[in-house]
Amino acid sequence: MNSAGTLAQAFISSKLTILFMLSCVLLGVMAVLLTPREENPQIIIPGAEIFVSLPGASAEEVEQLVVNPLEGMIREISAVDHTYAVAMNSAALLSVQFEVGEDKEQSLIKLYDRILGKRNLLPADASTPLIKSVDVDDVPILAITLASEEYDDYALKRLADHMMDRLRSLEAVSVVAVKGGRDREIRVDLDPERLLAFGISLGQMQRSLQAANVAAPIGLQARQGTVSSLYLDGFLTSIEEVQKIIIGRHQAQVIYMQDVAEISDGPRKERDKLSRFSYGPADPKFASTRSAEMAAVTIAIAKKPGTNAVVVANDVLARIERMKKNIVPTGVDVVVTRNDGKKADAAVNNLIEHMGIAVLSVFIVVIFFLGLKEALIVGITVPFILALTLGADYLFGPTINRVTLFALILSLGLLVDSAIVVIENIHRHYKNLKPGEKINVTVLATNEIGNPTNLATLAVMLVFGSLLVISDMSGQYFFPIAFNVPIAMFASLIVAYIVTPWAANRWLHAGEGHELENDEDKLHTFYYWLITPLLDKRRLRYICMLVVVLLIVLSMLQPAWQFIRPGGVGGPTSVGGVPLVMLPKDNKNTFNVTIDMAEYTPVEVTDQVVRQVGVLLRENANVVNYQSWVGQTGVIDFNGLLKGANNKRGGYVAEVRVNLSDKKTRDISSIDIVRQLRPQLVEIQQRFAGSVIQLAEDLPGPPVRATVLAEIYGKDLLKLREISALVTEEFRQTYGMVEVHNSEVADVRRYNIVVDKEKAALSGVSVTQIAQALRGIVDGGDMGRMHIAGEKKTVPIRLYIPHKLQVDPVLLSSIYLTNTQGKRVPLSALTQVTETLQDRPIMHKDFERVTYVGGELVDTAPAYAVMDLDQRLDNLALGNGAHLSTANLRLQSVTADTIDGYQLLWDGEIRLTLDIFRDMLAALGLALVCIYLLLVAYYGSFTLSLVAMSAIPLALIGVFPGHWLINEPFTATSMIGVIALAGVVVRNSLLIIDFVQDNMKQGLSVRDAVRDAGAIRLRPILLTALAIILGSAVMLSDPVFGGLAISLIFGTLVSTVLTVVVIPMLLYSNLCRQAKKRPLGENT
Amino acid sequence: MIAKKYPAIFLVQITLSILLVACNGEPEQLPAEPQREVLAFAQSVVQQQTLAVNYATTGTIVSDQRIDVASRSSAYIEKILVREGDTVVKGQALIQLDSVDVDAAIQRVQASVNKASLALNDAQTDLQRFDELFKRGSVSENKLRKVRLQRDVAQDSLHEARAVLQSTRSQRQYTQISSPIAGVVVARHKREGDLAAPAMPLLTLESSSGLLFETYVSEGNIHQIEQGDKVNVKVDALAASLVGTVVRIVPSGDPVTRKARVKISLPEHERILPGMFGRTSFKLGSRLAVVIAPQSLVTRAGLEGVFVLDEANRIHFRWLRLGKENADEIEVLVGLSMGERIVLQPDERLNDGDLTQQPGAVNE
Repeated sequence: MNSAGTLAQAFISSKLTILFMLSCVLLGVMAVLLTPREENPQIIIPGAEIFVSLPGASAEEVEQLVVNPLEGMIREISAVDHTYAVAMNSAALLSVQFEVGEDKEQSLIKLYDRILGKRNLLPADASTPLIKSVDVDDVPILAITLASEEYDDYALKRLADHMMDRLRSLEAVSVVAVKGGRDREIRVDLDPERLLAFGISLGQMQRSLQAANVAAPIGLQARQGTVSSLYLDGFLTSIEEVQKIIIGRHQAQVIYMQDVAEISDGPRKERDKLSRFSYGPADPKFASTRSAEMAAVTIAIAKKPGTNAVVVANDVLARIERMKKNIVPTGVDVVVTRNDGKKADAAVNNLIEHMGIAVLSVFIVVIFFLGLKEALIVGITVPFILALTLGADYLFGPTINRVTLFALILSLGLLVDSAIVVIENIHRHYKNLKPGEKINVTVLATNEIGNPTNLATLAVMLVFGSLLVISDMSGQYFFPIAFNVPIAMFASLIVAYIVTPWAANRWLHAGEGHELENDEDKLHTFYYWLITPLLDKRRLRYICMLVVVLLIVLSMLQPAWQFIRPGGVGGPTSVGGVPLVMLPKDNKNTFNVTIDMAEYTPVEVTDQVVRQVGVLLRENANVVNYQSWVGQTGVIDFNGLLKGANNKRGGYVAEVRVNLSDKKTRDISSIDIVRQLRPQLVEIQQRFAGSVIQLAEDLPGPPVRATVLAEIYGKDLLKLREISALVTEEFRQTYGMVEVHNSEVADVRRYNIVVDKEKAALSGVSVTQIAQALRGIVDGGDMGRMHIAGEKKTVPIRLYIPHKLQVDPVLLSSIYLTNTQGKRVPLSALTQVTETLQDRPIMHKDFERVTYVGGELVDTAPAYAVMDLDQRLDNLALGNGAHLSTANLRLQSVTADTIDGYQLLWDGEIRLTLDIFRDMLAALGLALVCIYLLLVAYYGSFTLSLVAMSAIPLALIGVFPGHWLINEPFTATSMIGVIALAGVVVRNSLLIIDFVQDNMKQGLSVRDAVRDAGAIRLRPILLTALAIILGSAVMLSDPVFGGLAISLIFGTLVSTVLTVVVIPMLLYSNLCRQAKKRPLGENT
Repeated sequence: MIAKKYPAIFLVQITLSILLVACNGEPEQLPAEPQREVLAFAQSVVQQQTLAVNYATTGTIVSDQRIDVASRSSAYIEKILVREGDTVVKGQALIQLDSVDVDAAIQRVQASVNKASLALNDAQTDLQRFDELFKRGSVSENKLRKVRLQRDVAQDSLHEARAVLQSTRSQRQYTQISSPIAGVVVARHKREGDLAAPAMPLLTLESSSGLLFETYVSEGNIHQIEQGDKVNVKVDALAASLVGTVVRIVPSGDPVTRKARVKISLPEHERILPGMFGRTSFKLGSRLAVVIAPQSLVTRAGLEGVFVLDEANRIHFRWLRLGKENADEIEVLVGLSMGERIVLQPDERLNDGDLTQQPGAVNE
C-alpha cells in the first residue's frame, strides 16, 4: 500500500475526514480574513541615504574628501548592492542599496557602525553623517487631500495638522505626515534701505531679537518654610512684542523693530513650493467648482509592516469620515487621492472573482467528461486545496496579493488533476462493483494510481519550486508563485487521497458508467486514423518529425528574428515578430506626470508648465482629479522611492498625480490614455527649453530607474558631459524612444562675491561678518521662535527680504556692515562680484564617476532599442583616439571599469530583463534536470525519459505564435508559463508511456501497445489540458499575467495535440530500435 | 463529439472572461461642461520697458547757508526774540543783549567830550585874548604860539573824545543782534541771562533757500556720477520725489568707509526742510524689464498673478514673481514675456478657462 492508499484507507469512512474538511474551511476563512492584503508582493530592498555637508567646498572637493572615503567605508560592508553618490557644492548625498532581501535593521546597523566608527576619515569641518533609512514601509498607502476654494493652504494645513493628530492613535498606522501647505510663522519683512537709514546692521537686529526672547529657570529659594522656584519670563508670546523690540538707538530716538520691518503673523507670502488640487471631468464636482485649481494639502499615511493595508485604510477613512462631520468646515473638500488598501482589496476581490469563474469552467469541463456527481466531487476538493494553500500563506509569510492569487489560478488547472485521476479510476472500478467491496475497491483504485500521480505532481512541484532561483527584486516579486504552486499541488494530493475516496464512497454508486461511451469510440476511431499511417510509414514519420522541428525553429525565430534581421535591430517589430520585454504595463487608475525643468528655472515658470498640463488633464474625460506639486515632489510611491524622487526639491521640479476613473467603468486603458497624452505633453515641453516631462505609470512589477538607462563612466567631467550629449542625441534618434533625459544639469549662473581681505581688514570688517550679512540679506534667516500657548508646531520668527526689495548682487552697496570702530562700511567697497557658473554636481555609482542618459519606450521592446543603440554606440570615437566601450548586456551584470577610457553600461529595464530571463532559464534548466532525474529514477531508462521530455519543446510551437496571435509581447510571466508547461506537458507523455509499458506487459506488440495507449489516454489528456486552458483563460485579460496565460493556453493546446502524435511516434521508433535484435512486425 | 464540443466550451469561457473585462456598462454620463459666457474685459499686451539700474543711497537735506549767530562783545543776554523753528527775515532783531555797560561808557565818553569841548572853549577864549594882546604887543609871539597850540590840542581832544563817543555809541548796535539772512532758526544755544561771549554761537540760522541733499557714495560708484547729473531725490516726509542736480562731489573719500560726499541741489519746495531724511537713486545704467500695470494683478489661491489669454481668448491664471514697484507699473521678474496678452483689469468673476474679449468687440 503506497501513501495514496494508506491515506485513503485511513480516511475513507472516518469522521476525521469531516473534521479535516471543516478545519480546512476554517483555516481558509481565517486566512482570507486575516492575511494582509496587498496589490503587489512587497519587495524589501533595504536602503539608506547618507548626507554630509562640508560648507563652502566645491563639488570636486566634496567628491575627494567626503564621497570617496564614504564609498570606501560602505564598500567594506557585505551585501551592499550598489552605492550612488552625488557630490554637490557644500554637500554630499550617498544612497546605499543593499541586496534585495537583506534584513533591514541588520543592514542599517552595519552601515551606522562603519560610518560613525570611521568618522575621523572625513574632514573635521564636515558635518556628522546623517543616515536615513529608505524604507518601503514608509511609503504612504493612503493619501487624503484637503482642498478648498475658500480657504488657503495655510488654513488647510492647520486643519490637516489637527486631523493628523487624531489619526496617530490608530494602532497600525506608522508615519503620518502632512504634505504641502504653509505653517504659521512670524514674518519680519525687512527693508534693507530702512535698516540702512537707521544705521542698524542686520546682525544687530538679530542679536536684539535673540536677546529679547529668553526665559529660563533661575533657581530655587526657600521662603516661609517652603521652597519655591524662580523663573525668568522673557519669551516673546505675541506679535506686538516682536514689533516693539528695540533694536537700536539713533541719537535720542529709540528704534523699534517695526520701524525697519513689516512684521506679520501668518504664512510666508513668497512661495517656493505649493500644491494644488483639481477635479477632472469624471468627477461630478468638476462642473460645480468655480476655480480650476484649488489650494490643497495632503495627509499621507503609511502603515506598519505586516499589517493589512485594507484594514488600516478603512480604519483611517472611518475616522476621517467622522472628522468630516465634526471638525472639517464646509467649503473644504476631503478627497482620497490614494488608497492602496482599496486598490489591493479591489485587485484581490477581482481575482477571487476570476478564480471563481475559473473553478466554474473547470467544473463544467469535468461535468462533460465525467458526469455531474464526479464533477461535484472534484469541485468540492478545490476550495479545500485553496483553503489549505491560503492557510499556508497566512502561516508562513506571503501576503494575499495579485501574484499569490495568480499562482492559485495558475495551479487550478493542475490541482484538479489529482482529484480527476483518482475519481476517474474509482469510477472505472465502480463499473463492475460487487456489493460490500465498495470501501476496499475505492482504496485500491486510489492506491493504483498513487505512484504515477505522485510522480506527476512531484514534477510540477519541482518545476515551480525551481522558480526560487530567481534572484533580486524579481525573485521577491515571483516568490508567491514559487511558494504557492508547490503548496497547492501538495495540498491537492492530500485532498485527493483523503476527500475524494471518502466522497466517492458516499455518493457514487456502482454501475454509474460513462454515458459518453459513443464519443469515446469516435475519438478512438479518429485517433487510430491519425496515428496508424504515421506508425506504419517510416518516411511519413520522418516528414512529420521534420515538420515539427521546423515549426519549433520557426516559432523560436519569432522573438529572435529582430536581433538577426538584415534591417537592423531598431525600428518597428517585424511582421510575425514577438518582442521580448520584462513585464508589460498595467491598466491602472492613476499615473504620474513628473516635470523636470532646467535647473535655473524659477518656480513660477515651473508652475506655468504645471498649469498647462492641468489644462490638458481637465479636458480628458477620464480624469477624476489631479493634484499638482510645484517645487517639490508629491506623496512618494514605491517607484519614486527607488528612483530617489524624494530627494528632489527646488523650483525646477514638479509632479502631477493624476487619478483616473475606475478601470472597470472606463473604456480606455490607462496605457492608452498616457499614450494619447504624451504628444501633447511633448508640445508643452518644447515650449520650455531644457524641460523634461515624463509620464510615469505605476509599474506592475519591480521598479526601474528608467526603461532604457545608459550609465556612462569616465574620469573627465567635461568629456562625460560631451558623451552624455552625444548619447542623448543617439537616444533621440532611436525608434520608439520618448522622454529622453540625462542627468547632466543645466548651467546655473553664479555670482562669486570675492572679498578683498586687505581692504576688509583695513576697514575693520571680517569675512565672517560679510558672509553672515550676505546670507541674511539674500535668504533671510531664522531668528528664534515664538512661544505661543496652544500652538501645535514651532512658530519661527523668520526674516525675509521681499522680492521687490531684493538686493542686486552686483550692487551690494546698499548693504552696510558696522566695523569695529562703529562706522558703517558699504559691502561693495570690500568685495568684487564676478559672474561664473555654479559648479556642477558630480555623480558616482559604485566608486566611479558617472552620468546617466535615460529614456522610455513606446511600441518597441527595450531589448531591441538597447541592441540598436549598442551597435551605434559601441566603439564610438570620442576624439583623440579614445573610444566608448559598452557593456553589461551579458547575462551576468558587470561593474564599471574606466581604466581604458570611457565605458557605457546598460542598466534599467534591460538589466532586470536580462537578470530575470537568466534566472528563469536557470530555473527552467534546473526544472528539466530535476524532471529528467525523476523520470530516470522512475523508468530506469535514460532514453525513455528523454522521449517523455520531448513534449517540452513542442510546447514552444504554441507559445510564440500564441503571443503573436494575441499581439502581446513575450514577458517574464510568459517565461514562467513556459517553465510551468515543462511540468504540465511531461505529465501527458508520462501517462502515455505508462500505458504503453502496461500494454506491452500484457503482451501487445509495440505498434498496438503504442496505438492503444495513445487512444486510451487521449481522453484524460484532453481533460487535463482543457482544465488547464480554461483555468488559465481568466488570466488572459490581465496585462501582467496575460503572458503566463498565453503561454499556458497555447503551449498546452499545441503540446497536447502534438504530444498524442509525436510521443507515440518517438516511442515507437525508440522501442523498435531497442528491439532491433528482435524485429517486430512493424511493416505489415 | 467532445472534440467538437471543446471549441464551444472554449468559446463560452473566452466570452465569459471577455464579458468580465468588458462588462463595465455604459460609460458614466460626464457632467456637461458648463457653457460659459464670453466676458468683456480690456486686455493689454505685455511690454518691455527700459528700467534704470539705480544705485540708491540715503542722506539728509542740508542747507547751503547755515549761520551761527554770535555776539561781537561779551554781554549778558537780555532777551532772545526768536525761538527754534521761527522763520526770520533779513534784518529782523534776534537777540537783545544787556546794554548797561555800553550806556555807561557812552556817558563816560560824553563827559569827556563835554570836558574836551569846555577845554576847547577855554583855549579858544585864551587864544582870542592873547591874539588881541599880541596885536597890542603885550605878549610875545612865543606866548601866542603856545596858546594857539593849546587850543589846537583842545580841539583835537574834542575830536578824539567825539570819535570815542561815536565808537562807544556804535557798541550799542551790537547789543541787538539781527538776522543777516532770511531763514529758519534751527537752534538756540544760550538762554536769556547767559553771558554772550564773542565767537560763542547764540543761535543757528539756516537759509531756507538753496537746500542741498547730502549723501555719501561708495568709491566704486563715484566715477559713474558726474556734476550736473539729474537725480531723483525722494524725501520720505513728502509724497513726491524731487529732481535734483549733482552740484558737488567732494573728491576725497573717507579712508575707513570708502565713501565720498556728494551734494545735490534741490529745487525750491515749500515743505522740505533741512534735516529731512531722503533717498537718492543714481542711474548707473538701464535694463529691459517686463512691466505690468498694478491693476492687472489678481490673487488666486493665495498666489499673485495675472490672467493670460491664449490664442482662443481663453484666460489662464499665471503666477508671477514681482519685482520693483512704482506707482503705475510693477516689474515682473518671472512669469511673463513680451507680447503676451493679459487681462488689464480682472475682477473676482474671472476664472481659469473663461472666454473673454475686448469690450466693444462684436458678440458672436
